[in-house]
Amino acid sequence: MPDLQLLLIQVAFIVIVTKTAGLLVRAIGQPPVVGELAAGILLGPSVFGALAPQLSSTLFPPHSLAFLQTLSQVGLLLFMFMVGLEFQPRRIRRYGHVLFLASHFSMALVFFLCSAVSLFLYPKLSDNRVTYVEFSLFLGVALGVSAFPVLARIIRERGLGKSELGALSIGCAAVDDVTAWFLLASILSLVRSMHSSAPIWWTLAGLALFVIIVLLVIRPLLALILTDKRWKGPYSEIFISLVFVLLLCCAGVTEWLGIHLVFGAFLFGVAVPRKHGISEDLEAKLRPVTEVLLLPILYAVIGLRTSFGLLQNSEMWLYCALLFAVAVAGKAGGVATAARLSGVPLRESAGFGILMNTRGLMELVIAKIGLDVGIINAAVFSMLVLVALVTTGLTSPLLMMVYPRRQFAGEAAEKQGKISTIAANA
Amino acid sequence: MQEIPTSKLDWGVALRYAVMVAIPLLGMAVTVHVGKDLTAPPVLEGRWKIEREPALPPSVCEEQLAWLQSGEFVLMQQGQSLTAMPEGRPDLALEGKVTGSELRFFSPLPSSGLSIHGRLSKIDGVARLDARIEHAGEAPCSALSFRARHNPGPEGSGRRGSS
Repeated sequence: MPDLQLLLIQVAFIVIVTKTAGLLVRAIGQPPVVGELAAGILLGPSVFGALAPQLSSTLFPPHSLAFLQTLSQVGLLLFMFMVGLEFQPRRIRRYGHVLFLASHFSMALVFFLCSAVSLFLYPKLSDNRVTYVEFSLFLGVALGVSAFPVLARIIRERGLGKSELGALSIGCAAVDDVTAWFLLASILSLVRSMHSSAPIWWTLAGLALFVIIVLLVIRPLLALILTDKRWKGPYSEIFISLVFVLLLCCAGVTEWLGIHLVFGAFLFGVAVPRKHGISEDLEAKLRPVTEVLLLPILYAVIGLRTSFGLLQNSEMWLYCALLFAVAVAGKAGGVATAARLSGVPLRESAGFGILMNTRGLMELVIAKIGLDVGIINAAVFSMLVLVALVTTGLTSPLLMMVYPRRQFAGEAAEKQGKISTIAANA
Repeated sequence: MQEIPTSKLDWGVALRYAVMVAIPLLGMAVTVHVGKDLTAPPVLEGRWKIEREPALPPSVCEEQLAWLQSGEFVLMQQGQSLTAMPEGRPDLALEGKVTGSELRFFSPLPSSGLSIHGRLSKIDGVARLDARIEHAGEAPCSALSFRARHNPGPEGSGRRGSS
C-alpha cells in the first residue's frame, strides 16, 4: 500500500519545484518545459541527492518510487493522447513534399549516423543482453524524434504561428511524430521477439490489425456517434467516458502486444474525429491536470533515474558529446539540407532545422521506454536526457540568431499576406 | 523575398525523395551488416560472493582486509564501466573497466592505493572472478588472491527489468 501522506507531500513538492523552474526559465526566454525538465533532474541523485542525501532519501525513499512511476505512466498516457489529438493532417498538405522529405531524410540520416557511432559506442556502453542492432536502432529513434508539443509552444510564443516557417515546422513535427512512434513500435516488436518465444510477425500482425481497427472501425464509429448533436449537449459526459474507456483499451492492447502503451494512446488520439470541436474539448479538459499535475511527476521520475554521476570520467562525457553531435548533425543538418534542396530559402531552411532539433519530452519518453525495457542502461539514459535538455534549450537562442525577432515579425506579416493571396487564388 | 514552393506531385519530387532517403538507409544497412556480430561486455552486475584462503600473509593492509572480510561485494555496470563496492562500505568503492575477460578496478580516492585486477571465467554457467587485491600505499602490503562467484539476482539474468 502506498504511504498516502508521503505521496501527497512528494507530488506537492514536485509540482512546486517544476513549476517554479518553468517560470524562471520563461523569464530568460526559454520554453517552460526546459525549466521543468531541469527541475526533474535537480530533484534526482545528480543534485538534490548529492547535496542533501538524507533529505532526499526521506522524501523519495526507494519503496515510494513505484507509486510515482505509476502516476507518471498515467501522465504519459494522457500526454501521448493529447499529442495524437494535436495531429492535424491538413497541416501537412500545403508543404507535403518538403515535410516528408525533411522528416524522413533527417530520420534516415540520424539512423545512419547512430548505426555508425554505435560501432564504437555499443561495446563500451552496452552489455551482451542487448544486440548491436537493437542498440543502434533504438538510439536512432530516440535521437531522430522532434518534440511536437514544445515546438508548437515555441512557435506560438515567438509569434511564428502564421509564418511559413511555423507551418513547415509544425507539419514536419507531425510527420516525425507518426513516423517515430511507428518506428519505435516496430523496434520494440523486434526487441521483444528476440527475447521471447513469440515470433516478430505475431507482434507485427497484431500491430497492423490494431491500427486497422482503430482507424477503420473505431474512428468512423466515433464520427458516426458525433453526428448526433445530443452528444455535444446532455450526453457529452457519456461520450467523454466512452473516449476514455477506448483510450485505456487501446493503451492496454499495445502494452499487451509488447509495444508500450504510449503507442496505443497516441494512435487513439490521432483517430478521434476532429468534429464539433471534440478534440479541443478533450484537450481543454485534460491539459490542466496533465500539464500541471501529472507531467511534473514524469519529469521527477525521469530526474530521479538520471544520474550524471554515472558519467564519471572524461571518456563518458566524450561519448555524450558524440551522441549530441549525431543528434544535431542528423536532425538539424538533415532537415535544413532537405529543405534547401526542396527550394526553401537559406534562412528559412536554417530556422526549420533549428526548430526540428527540439527534442524535449519526446526523446525522454522514448529514452525512458528504452530504460524500462532494458535496451539502454542508466548511463546512456542520462546522456539522452542531457542531449534532450541541451537541444531543447538551444532552440530559442539559435533561432534568435538566425531569425531575429524584428526580421521574422516583418516577414511573417508579409508572408501572411502572400499565403492569403495564394489561398484566395487557389 | 523568395517563396517556399507549395506541394505539387511530380516525378522530380518523388525521385528526390527516393534518392535522398535511400542513401542514408543504404548506409545504415551496410553499417548494421558490418556491426551485427559485434559483442558487448558480459553482464557482471549483481552480487559477487567472495571465497578466499583462510590464511592471511603478515603484511595485509586494513583496506584490503575490510574488502575481503565483507564476504560479498556489489558490482554496478554501465557497459564497460564498473563500480565495485563491499556490502555496506561505500567508502571502499572501486571504479573499473571490463576488457574482454579482464577486469581492473582502482580507487577513485587519491589517498587510497587500493586496486583489483582479475580474470573472468565461466564454470557451470556461473561467472567466476579470479583476482588479486593490492594496495599501493606507503606501508608494504602484500597482494591477496581471492575468488568471487557471481549471483546476478532476478534482474541480472535476463533483461534489465521490463516496462
